[in-house]
Amino acid sequence: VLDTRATLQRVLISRAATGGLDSNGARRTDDEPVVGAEVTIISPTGVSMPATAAATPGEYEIQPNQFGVDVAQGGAFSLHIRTPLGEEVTGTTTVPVAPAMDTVPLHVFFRQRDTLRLAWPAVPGAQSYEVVVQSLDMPEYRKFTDTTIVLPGTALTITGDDVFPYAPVNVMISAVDANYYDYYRAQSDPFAGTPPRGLTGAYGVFGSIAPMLVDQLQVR
Amino acid sequence: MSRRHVSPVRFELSQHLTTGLVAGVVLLLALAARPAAGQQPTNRDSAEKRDSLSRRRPVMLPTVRTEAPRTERRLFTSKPNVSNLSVSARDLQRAPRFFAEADVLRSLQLMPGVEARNDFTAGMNVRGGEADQNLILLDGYPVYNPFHFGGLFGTFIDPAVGRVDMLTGGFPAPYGGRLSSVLNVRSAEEDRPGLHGTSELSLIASTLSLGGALGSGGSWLIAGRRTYADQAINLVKRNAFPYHFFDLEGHVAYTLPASFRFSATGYGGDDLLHFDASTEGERQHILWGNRVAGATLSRPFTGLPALLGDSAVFEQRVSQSLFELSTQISGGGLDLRSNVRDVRAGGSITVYAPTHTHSIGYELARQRLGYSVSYPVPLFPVDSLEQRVASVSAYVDELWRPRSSLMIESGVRYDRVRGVQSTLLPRLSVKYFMNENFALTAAVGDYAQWIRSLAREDIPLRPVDYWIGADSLTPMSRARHYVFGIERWVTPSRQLRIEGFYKRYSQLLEPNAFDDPQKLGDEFVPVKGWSTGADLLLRQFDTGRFGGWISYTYTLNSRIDASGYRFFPSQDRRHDVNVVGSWKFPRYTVAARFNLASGTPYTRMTGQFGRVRYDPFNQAYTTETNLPEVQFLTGPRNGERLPLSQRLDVSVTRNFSPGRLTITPYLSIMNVYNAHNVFGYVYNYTALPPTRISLPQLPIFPTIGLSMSW
Repeated sequence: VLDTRATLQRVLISRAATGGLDSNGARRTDDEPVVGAEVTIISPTGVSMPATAAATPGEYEIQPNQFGVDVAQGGAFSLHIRTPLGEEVTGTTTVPVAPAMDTVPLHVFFRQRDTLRLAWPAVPGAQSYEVVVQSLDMPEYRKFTDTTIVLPGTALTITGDDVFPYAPVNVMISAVDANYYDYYRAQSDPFAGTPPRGLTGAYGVFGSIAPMLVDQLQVR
Repeated sequence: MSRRHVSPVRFELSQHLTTGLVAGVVLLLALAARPAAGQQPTNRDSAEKRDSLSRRRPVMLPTVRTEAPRTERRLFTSKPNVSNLSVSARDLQRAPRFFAEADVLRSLQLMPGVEARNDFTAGMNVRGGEADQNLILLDGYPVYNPFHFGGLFGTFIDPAVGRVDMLTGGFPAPYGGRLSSVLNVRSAEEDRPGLHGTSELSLIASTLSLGGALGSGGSWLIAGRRTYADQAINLVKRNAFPYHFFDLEGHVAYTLPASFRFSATGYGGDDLLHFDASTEGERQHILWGNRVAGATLSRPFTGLPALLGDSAVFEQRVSQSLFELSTQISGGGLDLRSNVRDVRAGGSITVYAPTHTHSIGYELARQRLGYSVSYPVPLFPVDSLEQRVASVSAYVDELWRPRSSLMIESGVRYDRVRGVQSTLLPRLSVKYFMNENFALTAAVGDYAQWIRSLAREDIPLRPVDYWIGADSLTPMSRARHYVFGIERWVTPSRQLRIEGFYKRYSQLLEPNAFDDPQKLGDEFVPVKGWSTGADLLLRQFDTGRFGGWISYTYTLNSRIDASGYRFFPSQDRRHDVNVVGSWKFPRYTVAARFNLASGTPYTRMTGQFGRVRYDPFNQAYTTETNLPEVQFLTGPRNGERLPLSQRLDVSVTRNFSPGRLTITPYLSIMNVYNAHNVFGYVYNYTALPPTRISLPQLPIFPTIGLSMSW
């Protein structure tokens, strides 16, 4: 996923568990990171940016500004991967033009009384907008929406947890591209196969997000 | 002094002549010399005649057999009746109970051409059609989700059902709005004076029905059923099984002055699961139910001008049918709703002439349909829709008997859905009698459907259908049926029917598995294809000791999706055999049903990986989301088949008749030898070695109960 706010762009590659053997000849029971792959991202202007292996196996990093590329300007970026086994993976994402980041300072949010209401202007190139609510106490809550979100303070997640636990909570709104939206908007369905993904040669997603608003709440 | 003789005279009378139910046999002994009706002397006023009669030797009169024609036989001789399965309540009750309850809809799945993919589905697949292509009616009024407990039980209360007519293809112009079949459940009409009823107690539910005659030719009936497992388990542990369902049904028919006949039917039933908890997020609430109310007014006319015919029947009906599903999981973290409000009015005039029966009719319908879900979850539709659909339908239907050996029923139906499209649908069916017991039949017709379900056929679990309508972005679905067959009455009580069919879907829509809730009009994707096959029914009507049937269905189905990929749809069951029989002994009745069916297609999982998310706060990948996310990799769509399934159900009933009461205790065992029929597979590629666990359908389930009638 290309992040218009990130200095380092990260690409994660792994092999699915299919009951086969891993590179050491042992039967794989989980996703196996793919190490030693050649990963390149090509900017809209044709600048080729090879990635380097990160500390985490299977993760690759690119610092676009080292190549004079600003992801925040948007445009169509291409991904090219060649694995050590010779497999080729390609994909393209149209990065939404990153708007200016808007940060709402920490404020008190009374869970039983307040409702979170946010609205923002449409972003060119955005297919949808993702709301991420994150706190230390609860698994994060995510939802796609159009240019508004209304969340009552008493809202619950699908697992029955509080969306707004009594703790500091950060809410982030990001514009996302079509690949990201198509891949993440529904959870995996065992009867439906894999969702549209914008990749050839692999499953997964090559998408992009443009964070645009952070709201910090002290939930009481 | 004249001698009195006891003259044994034997009669065989119909038990239900007026209703046309299966004829019974009654042995009467005439206790006096008075002859039977119809055998009386013509001149009874003559004293000399009486004297001369009394002086004669007693005469043993021959057996007189008076038997009402079976409804099935009457349909055989009076209509082309292609693909029509007409089943009486008695026939349906003959099958062993399903999960402790006698169930009309489950019993119908034992008939040819009618399939259910497994024990947990509310859908029926008729001759290869998708499960939402069946029009289900109660006394002619639509019912949208006639199932309880996620499809395990039908909503129709068994003692309240009089007859079921199922049209599995080639149905005539009066029926429309669905592509595959019409199921009309007719309420029982109790024509005996006084108060009569049935009470049933099973391990799962109790049922009570009461009814009787009402005036001249009228009847009333009320029936109710409620499960009580929740109450029973509550005695042991409170709130341990907070689920129940109930049904309440009433039907009245009454003859008004001037030969008008009025009938009305009402039905209400709910499933309710309410799990209370101290923590808000642990509370669960699921409610779904149907409400149906309808009334029909009809009047026969005679003395028509000769040009028109000799008699006519006018009929007018109105109805309202509601369905509502309200689901709040995790205290409302997931809120899922579906609702239908259907209001319709229709009518017909049928004119009878010696060789013609002309019908003309109309139907106006309005539906409000809605579906919403607050959060996308797997297996459920993700879109939220609110629709209003208005349709106008009209038809003409002509049944012509040019010769005694030939019947032709032709008609055309016009359906117009506001803002969608209008269509003309011709229908034709023909019956040619080779002799009085053997006929060749054929039918062809066009069919359209504009109300459809968002439930996907590939998902084997189908608790309810989420109905929405066609609109300017999702057109009507279209199909054409071709049916040909033979029908032979081997004996007056044994029927053989074999039919071949071909159904072509030129314009079909299936729910889009990747529906985008932000986009309108992508809820369905186009599919085309065909279903073909043949079905056989050999049926022995109950005339004494044995009754039952053998049904066999062969289907071959093919669909092509929007990308041009050809696949077998999930309902593509090639072979399905049902053997149903009941044997009456002096004190016991033993019933059995055996099913053998080939497997249906499914999509195999070939692998899996974890779906990581990008965390924009920390600019790193994370798996800390509110649901674990596993991405399954799949093989070709429906590229594999489940194994063969088989099941034997048996029941034994004992009959006592103290006075006017009939008491029938029963023992019923479902899946007698506990066959492990596969419902589906769960894969785990993170296990060492990877595992595939087969989920079973219903296991052996013995049950006892008691039925009383008076």
